Amino acid sequence: MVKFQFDPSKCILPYDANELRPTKCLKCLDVCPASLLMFRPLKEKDEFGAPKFFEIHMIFKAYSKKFCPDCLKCVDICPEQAIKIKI
Amino acid sequence: MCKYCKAHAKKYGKWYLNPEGYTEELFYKLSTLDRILGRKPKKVRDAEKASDAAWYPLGISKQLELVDLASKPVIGGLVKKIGNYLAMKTHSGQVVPTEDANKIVDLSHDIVAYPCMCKRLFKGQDEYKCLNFAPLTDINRKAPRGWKEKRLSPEEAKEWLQDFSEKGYVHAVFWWCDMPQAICICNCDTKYCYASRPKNWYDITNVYRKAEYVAEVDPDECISCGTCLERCQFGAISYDRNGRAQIDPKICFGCGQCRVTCEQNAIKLVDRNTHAIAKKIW
Repeated sequence: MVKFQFDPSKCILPYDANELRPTKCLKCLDVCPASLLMFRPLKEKDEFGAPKFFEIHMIFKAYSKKFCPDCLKCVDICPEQAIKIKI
Repeated sequence: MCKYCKAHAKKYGKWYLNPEGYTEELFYKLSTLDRILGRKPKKVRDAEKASDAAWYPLGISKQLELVDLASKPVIGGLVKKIGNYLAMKTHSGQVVPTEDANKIVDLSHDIVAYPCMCKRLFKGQDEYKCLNFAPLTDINRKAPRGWKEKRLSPEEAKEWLQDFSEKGYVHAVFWWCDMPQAICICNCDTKYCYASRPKNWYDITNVYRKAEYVAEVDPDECISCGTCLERCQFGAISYDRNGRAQIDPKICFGCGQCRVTCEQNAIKLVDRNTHAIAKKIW
């Protein structure tokens, strides 16, 4: 299993109430050739019940070894160096 | 055809061609328990929850953690069985070719396009390619954080479907909390599709059922151009010894998108139910 680590203190993804999604930058999602990353909300919510912040995490972990191409593009593209991968 | 499809297809041949599936009566039908408890039907309660665009990433991420359990050695088999059962009772879909997608458009009303949730969640991009119909659209409009929509006339919806087909996206009709309530036509790219990946990787087959058809190549007409091979999202097409395209009926989803690119018209769709190999593979 590929160990994916995301540091939410380095990459803060606030919720955009108009666009109904995180405001930035999601480059890691775009660059992943296997689409194994997604954003999910952190527990903190605003007064309307919407999540305040998001984090990036890896999905289909059971098959990440098989489908993650170990390209490290997500690590390279992250402008905040918030992603670490242990293969 | 599974027992659900048989039960709901009736004289229309396919469950999604049954006009009952597009009515408000079915959507708002109360179960005995709902009546006793004085609450809204499950379809409505679930739709209200799912129409919250802010809730969606959390719901999907929780579901995906459960899907991962299907790979565990001891409990995996049980998780797959539960997943397959819940898929029929919640929100799952079946691949349809463009002709059938157009028939669905004719049966539905109040058609709107929403951004593809899979592309948003797994690619970080918005593309309006999920075509939803009433009565789900009404619920979305009432939601405090409902999905942004683009309204389409039936003619526009068919043009969009044609455009998606030319891009190679696979149409799939999705039901909502029990068949035959059809609520949307997704136009999927399996690279980031939430439904097809659990099916293909974890064997939770009911999440994304194959079409009522399977594709076949006429080897005499094939000129080995390779366009269909590039087009197939499921890896069902290969070359035989003579360099002609061949389609594996065990893998083929019957979406018909290979047929769209074939300039020789060498590919046709045949009924899966009468196909010797594919009839039991859904």
